[in-house]
Amino acid sequence: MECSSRQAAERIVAYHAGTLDPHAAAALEWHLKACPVCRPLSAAQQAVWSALDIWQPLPISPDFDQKLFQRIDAEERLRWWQRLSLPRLSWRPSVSLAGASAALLVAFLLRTPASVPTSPAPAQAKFQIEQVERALDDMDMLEQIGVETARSPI
Amino acid sequence: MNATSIESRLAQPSWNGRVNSNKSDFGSLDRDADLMLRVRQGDPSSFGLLLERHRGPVIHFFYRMVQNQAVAEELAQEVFLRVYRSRESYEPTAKFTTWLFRIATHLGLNWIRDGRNERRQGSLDDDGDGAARQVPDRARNVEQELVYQARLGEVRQAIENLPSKQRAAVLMHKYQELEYAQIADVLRCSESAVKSLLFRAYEALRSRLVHLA
Amino acid sequence: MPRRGSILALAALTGGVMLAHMGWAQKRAGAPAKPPSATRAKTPIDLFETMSREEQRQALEQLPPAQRRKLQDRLDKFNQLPAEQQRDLKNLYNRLHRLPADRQNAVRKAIQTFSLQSADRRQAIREELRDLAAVPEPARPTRLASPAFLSKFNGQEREIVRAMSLLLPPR
Repeated sequence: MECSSRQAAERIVAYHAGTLDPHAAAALEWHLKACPVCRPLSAAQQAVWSALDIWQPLPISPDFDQKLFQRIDAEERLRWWQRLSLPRLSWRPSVSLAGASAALLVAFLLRTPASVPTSPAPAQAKFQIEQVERALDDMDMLEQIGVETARSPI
Repeated sequence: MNATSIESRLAQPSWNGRVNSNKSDFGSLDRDADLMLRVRQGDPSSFGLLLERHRGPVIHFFYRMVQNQAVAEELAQEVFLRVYRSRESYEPTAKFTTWLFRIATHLGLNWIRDGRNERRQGSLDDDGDGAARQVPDRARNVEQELVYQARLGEVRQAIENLPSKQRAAVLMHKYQELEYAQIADVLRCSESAVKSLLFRAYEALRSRLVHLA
Repeated sequence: MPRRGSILALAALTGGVMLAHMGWAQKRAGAPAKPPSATRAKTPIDLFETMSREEQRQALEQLPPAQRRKLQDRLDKFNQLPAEQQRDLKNLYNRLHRLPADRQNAVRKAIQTFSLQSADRRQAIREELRDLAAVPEPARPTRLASPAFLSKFNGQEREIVRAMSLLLPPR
């Protein structure tokens, strides 16, 4: 490959991004030791990479989630009201009043999730247990790196 | 029976609704897609988990795109609102992060195109919330802090000078570590077009930032 | 859906009082639930621990007996760790799961590679991470590109440190 080619530059970018496979990375590292074209290009790309690294994001507003939930709730209520919008009404009852009230009650039960769980359906229980298993797998993995790392001051 | 806000539903363990993870074609390979499918099936706590995982990256992406923290958070709110809004028709045809960043990039590019950044962005020193949010690092002395801020200013200017699509591609490539194929999917172009965008972008950045080495 | 909508609309005319009583305001009147981000995120282990014994039993019963016993043993072993260690692991877990999926994969790969290193190199990496944790977050990239760091570790070790540094708390 031509060292001044675009492919060479892309390969150097990929190297600094850490996306080259180990063999290709090793080969490139060996090449960079001697190539007068690629070495300065790689140094320049490293400078860019390090420079971009210093640009850290700002803290997120503590009420970000709350505002989002408020917007979602507002939108959900709007849609609910829209389903009950007046232009769709018919003054000729298609069901009895008692039936209509019962339908409303059923609609509420179906519209809003139960706030008091009785017992989990088997599918949810299995989901929970799988999550617990995966969490324990992660804990085992994380334990390897040395818990003292986690005890660093915040 | 009480109507509950999404906030309170999110605080509950996910007992409610039927969860059928068998419907995901992605299995455990894309947990986010699995979570989104659970949101589709009526489990709002999974939306909470997705928000927890992706809130930061989306806001940070916007912050670097539009260089204004307040606008970044507004745009991020819009992204998650759209994610929640489209839950009933969600299909995992792509990785979840690809879909998420497709929405985010679309909003970001529109915002830049509409030129609002010219009205709201006085200088690169203004993060939309005043200088107070850019807290100096106490580990640096005054001189070091000045040098750091100067370097940061150059980095931000260099990114801001990139054409918007190149900017989006670099931000996704560098900070979100998306692969070329994903970036192509997000920008709805070919992989070779993404490579071309990144080639030109990094070339421009090298010429502007090499002296910072 | 339209038929249901019209039935609901009709019912709303006659059930308006019931709607107002049952409907919109009541949950807001109680103590508002905290957004998930306001408190330390609960791990699946925390959520399991908050379940009643009956609920835990039902959840565990979904597993085959051998797997159930193994999971129970693992949970017991975890709960026997010192409280501080449990807390630290949960913090690491939460930080891992806050990362985007691609970064999580990178961290997992790094830890896997870390586990294959010799004991002395693992120790060197742990010490580096400990030192790095004391460095403010914005300055960490500079440290990770510094000659001192580059000379201490080979390419693979550098990638391990860089990936695992994503789990360090901000300072």
